[in-house]
Amino acid sequence: MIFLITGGSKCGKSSYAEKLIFHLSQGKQANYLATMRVASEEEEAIVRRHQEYRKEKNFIVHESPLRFPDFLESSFVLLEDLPNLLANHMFGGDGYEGALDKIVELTNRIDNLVIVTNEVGSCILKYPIETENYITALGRLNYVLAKRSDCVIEVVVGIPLAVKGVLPL
Amino acid sequence: MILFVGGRASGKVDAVKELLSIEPQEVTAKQALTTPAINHLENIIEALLENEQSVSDFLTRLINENPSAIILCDEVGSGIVPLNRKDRVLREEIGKACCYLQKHSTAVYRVVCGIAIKIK
Repeated sequence: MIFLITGGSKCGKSSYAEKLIFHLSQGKQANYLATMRVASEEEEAIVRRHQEYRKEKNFIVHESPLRFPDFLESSFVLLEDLPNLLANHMFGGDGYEGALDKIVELTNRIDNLVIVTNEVGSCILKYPIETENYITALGRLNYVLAKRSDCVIEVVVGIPLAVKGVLPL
Repeated sequence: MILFVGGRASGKVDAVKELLSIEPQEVTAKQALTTPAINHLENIIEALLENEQSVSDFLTRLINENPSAIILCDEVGSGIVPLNRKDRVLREEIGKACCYLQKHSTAVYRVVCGIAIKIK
C-alpha cells in the first residue's frame, strides 16, 4: 500500500505519518528516509530536533537527500519529505525527472510506503522563474504520486481527511 | 470550544453566523479571553509575536478562561515557504496554534467556498 500524506505547514501531517507507519508495521521497526539537506543554521536545528525526537522511535534512519539506499532493512518505509527531495534535485541534482524516477523506483519496490508531501501552490505572490518552476513541479509530482497511491490523506489542523481511499486510522 | 478554519475570505464569518447565530469580533489577545466569538486568530498571533509575548501562554489562558469560545482562523500554510524568517515563524505558529486548539475543540469546521465542512 502506498499512502500520500499532504497538508500545509505545521498541520500535523508528520505526526500522523509516523503514527501511520507504526500502525502498519504493528510497532515493528520501520525505515525513515530523511531528505532535508542542511544549508543553514535554522535547517541544522530542525534536523537536530528531528534526530533527537526520532531516537525514541523504532526507526532506522537513512539520510537520503538525493537517492535512496538500495537495501532497506524494513518493508515499512516513511519518506519525509517530497518537497525537500524535489528541491534537492531541482536545485543541484537532476531536476524534476530525476526526483520522479527515484520516487517511482521506490514505490515499485516497497510494500508499505508512507510519503509526506506539502502544498505550496496556494499563494498570491509571484516568484522568480526557478521557484515558479518548483511550485509547478511539486504540484505535478503530487498529482502523479496520488494516482499511484492507494490512499491520499490531507491533514487539516491535526485532523486527517481522506482525499482518496479509506482512512487507515 | 469550536474552531473554524479556511483560506482568507472563504466564508467563515457567514458560516458562524448561519450555524451558531453569533457575530464574530476582531479583538486583541486580552479581549479574546472574554469574547464569545473571535475572528482572525492569525492577527492575534501576529501581534503577540510582534510584542515578543508567548503564543502558547495565550492559548493556554484562552482554553482555560474562555473554554466555550468560537474561534476563526485563516489557513496560511499552503504557499511557498517565506524567505523572511519573521514570516516563516508566523506561518508556523498559526499552524501549530490551530492544531493545539483543535485538540481542545468539541467541533472543528473547515470552510471551503462558503461551505462549512464538519471535520470533527
